[in-house]
Amino acid sequence: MTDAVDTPTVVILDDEELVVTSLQTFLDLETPYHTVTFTSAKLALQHIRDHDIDLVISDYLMPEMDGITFLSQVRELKPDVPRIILTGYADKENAIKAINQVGLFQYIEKPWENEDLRVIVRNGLEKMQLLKKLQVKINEITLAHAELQTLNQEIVRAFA
Amino acid sequence: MGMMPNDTNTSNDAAALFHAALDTVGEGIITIDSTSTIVVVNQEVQNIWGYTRDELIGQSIQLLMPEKFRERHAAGFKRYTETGVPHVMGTRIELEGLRKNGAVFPLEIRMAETTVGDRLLFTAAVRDVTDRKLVEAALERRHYIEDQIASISTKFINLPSNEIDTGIIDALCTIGQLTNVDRSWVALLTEDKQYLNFTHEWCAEGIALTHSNLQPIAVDTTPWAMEQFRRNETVYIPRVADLPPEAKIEKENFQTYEVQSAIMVPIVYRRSLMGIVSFDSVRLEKIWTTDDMALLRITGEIFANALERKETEEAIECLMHRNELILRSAGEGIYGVDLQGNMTFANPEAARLIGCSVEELIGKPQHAILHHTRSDGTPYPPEDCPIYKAFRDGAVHRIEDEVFWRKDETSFPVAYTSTPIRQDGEIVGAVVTFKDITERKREQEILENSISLLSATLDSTNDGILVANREGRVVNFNQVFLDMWGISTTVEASQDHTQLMTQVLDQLLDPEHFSRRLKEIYSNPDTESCDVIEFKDGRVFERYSRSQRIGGKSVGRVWSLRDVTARKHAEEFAQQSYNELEQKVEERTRELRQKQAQLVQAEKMASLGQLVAGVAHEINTPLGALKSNIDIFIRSVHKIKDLMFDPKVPQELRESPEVTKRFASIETLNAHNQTAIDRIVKIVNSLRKFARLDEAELDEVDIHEGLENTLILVQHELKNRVDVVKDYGKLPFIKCYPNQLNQVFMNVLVNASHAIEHEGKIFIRTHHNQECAMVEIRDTGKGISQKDLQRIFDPGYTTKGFGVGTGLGLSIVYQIMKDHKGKIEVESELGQGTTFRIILPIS
Repeated sequence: MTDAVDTPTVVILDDEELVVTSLQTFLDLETPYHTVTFTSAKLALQHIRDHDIDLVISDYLMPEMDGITFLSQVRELKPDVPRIILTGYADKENAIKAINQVGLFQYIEKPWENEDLRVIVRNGLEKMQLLKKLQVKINEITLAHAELQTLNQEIVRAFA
Repeated sequence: MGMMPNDTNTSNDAAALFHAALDTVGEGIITIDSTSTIVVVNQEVQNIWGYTRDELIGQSIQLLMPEKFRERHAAGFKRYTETGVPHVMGTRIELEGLRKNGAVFPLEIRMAETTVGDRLLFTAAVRDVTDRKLVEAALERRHYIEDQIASISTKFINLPSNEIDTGIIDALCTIGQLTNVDRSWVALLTEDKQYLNFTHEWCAEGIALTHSNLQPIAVDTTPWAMEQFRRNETVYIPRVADLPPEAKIEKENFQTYEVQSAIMVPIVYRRSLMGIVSFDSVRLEKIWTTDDMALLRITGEIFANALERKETEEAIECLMHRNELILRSAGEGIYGVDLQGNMTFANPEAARLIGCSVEELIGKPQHAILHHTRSDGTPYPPEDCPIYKAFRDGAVHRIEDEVFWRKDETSFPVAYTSTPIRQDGEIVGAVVTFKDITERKREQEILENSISLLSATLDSTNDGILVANREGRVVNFNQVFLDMWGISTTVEASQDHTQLMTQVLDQLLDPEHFSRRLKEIYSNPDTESCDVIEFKDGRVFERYSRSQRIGGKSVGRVWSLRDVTARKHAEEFAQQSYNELEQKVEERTRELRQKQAQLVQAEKMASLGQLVAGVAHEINTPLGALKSNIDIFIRSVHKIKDLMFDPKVPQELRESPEVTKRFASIETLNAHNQTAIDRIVKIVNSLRKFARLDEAELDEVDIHEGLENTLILVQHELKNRVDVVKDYGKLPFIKCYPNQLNQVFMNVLVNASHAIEHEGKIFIRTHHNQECAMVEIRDTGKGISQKDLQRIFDPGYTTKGFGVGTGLGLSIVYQIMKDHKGKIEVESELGQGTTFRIILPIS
């Protein structure tokens, strides 16, 4: 694997090992992203809290905790991380509602096209990357601003 | 008196002449000397005394007088000769003589004194007054009798009636003694005039009383005497022994009591025989003088009067007693009023009602005491008092609505009658009878209340009511009754039974039955009846009747008539309505069954939809994985193949037939897997879309999409057997319930498939005009018979046999089309096939 610092990490949660494996396999094989998979929301949340991650994919219908609840908790932990929900056809309406409520990045309908999945994940990560970069720039600007401020003060003091 | 001695012829001649003269005198001439020696007597003396002259001359005069006079004579004679004061001399005196035969007789004597020479001679002229005395005695007796009668009569008149019996016995005694009989008695006829009862008897001393032993004598047994009594004749029986044979019983009766002669006088009052009074002689046969007989007859009359008076007085007393009793025991107050308005008498009830004693009422002005104020408290002027009015108009006044006042100033309602009392045609007062009618008033009020209630009931009921007595005569009725029969009040008032019945019968459909029933009912007074009466004009009455009873006894019948025409019509109408309703119900039932079937179907579809959704979801998860995995496989094979062309890979391996073959197989199988997965995805999609769970609402849809989805689902029915030929025109989106419409397509397509027994074709054609879109589905199946064709849309109708179809399919189709304001048409020909046309409005 490439440098962990540069490689984005995708967290995948589904109560079905079957689905988790398919998603992970595809992403591992066909994308450069690092994947972490869970079949338990609790463990997933734990991981998310403790690690740097870049995107979360969660199933909608799960016995332990439904995807919406899970993702809303993810938002609390990592507000900037794009969140994607995987839905069955029948849940589409609820999923769309949840997207607006919890502020999801996208939803993926089962059965999904791997190509669609790749695009959605990439877009999410790009967004994440851009936000990250934006933050860095903001930080830099803030820092610069602070430096400028300091300089300004020094100048003022010098001339004072 | 004596003859003077005479010696000479001359003196002898003179003496003879003197004697001759003396003898012709009608009186007895006796001359005595101073020694009372008889010296001369004439012929008449000899006649009177019965002595011869010779027997008398020289005898003492005392010979001719009864013993009791002799001493008196001697004393008187001596006194006169000594004193010379005359006592009887020169007067006529009555004395008694003693005849030679010893009989004493009355005589009248006049005496004179002569002196012849020195001899003092006394001459007496004597007349025998026996005859005169007898007449005088008879006269005297008669006077006595008359006196007795008068006395008895007077006594009776003054005798109180309860002493009349004693009076009669006294009178029997008096008259018995007077007439010198031994027994006298009275027997009275009983009231029925059949027996004589011995009631009074008197007996002389030594004679046994008999009548207490006597049984009443039946008058029939003594016809002889009775006959005479009835003729008011006195029966005089001088000798009982001489009674004629027809008086046998009378004779025996008398002889029983040793009666020798009797006289029986009828007691007759007002020509009616009351009884007899009888005077019997027991000791001797008695000859009755006419005077006696007259006396007895008068006695009879006196007795008759007395007895009659006794009877009358007893009757009066009885009457008075009874009146008194009546007054005392009368349940009404009774008092008398005189012309001054004062109370003359009052009975205890009157006093009780007024609340005082009888004594307190007597003599008081009745109006002021008990009638002074009217019931409304205003004064009651005496001039208006009806009690006094009876004095003026002589009429009976009956008042029922006034009050009388008690002593304690309370009043009570009273009914009273004032009846004038007349005496000899003059009104002398009035009798007032009165009654406290408090109770009656209350009863009357209750009664009036009951009656008013009854009549109100009668008038308020909608039924005609008639009350008839046992004879069927009308007693009461209400207006409704008259109205029902159209009887005018005048006819009813006339009580013309025949006219009434005629009027009634004329209106009836079956008057004979009516009359017959009437007769039957009246002959069974206790039964209740219930009939239906039909009128010519179509009206129908129900007639009930029930016996009217007083104290358990039927006294009449109450008839109740109810006009049930409207009800009967209503019943008929109801029957008609019922029939119509039944028809409607049938229709509605069909509709309902259709609805129900639809509901069932909808429910089924909803369940199916949920099932499908669940299935789709469940399938989609593994399907998603599978689809993804195959994609990965395909990509991986490409990748591996690309890698195989890496020069580092040995050629033998790259070109190894085993590897090449394996890759070829994997690629083929992957392609097939992908196709299979795509088909599964498509079917699941169709299922999902057919159910249209997400689109249950009215929506604008593409009909062709619906048809296609349905075809995918019925594919298994058609596969390899039925060719589906599509001829789709251009259709606009149609506003509809897509899931419902899909059902229609599904039903028609499945039916078409079933109609094709082996192989055949289904033609689906779609087109539209301005108003509607049409889907025509034609099959080449066996067709439907004309008979079945009419019923194919009925719910539950199936030709598929039990267990195959529900029979609900086409009925639901029909209903769905109706709901869409579209229609479904069918054409069929047996053996040729069937065409369904589904027509939907475009807007």
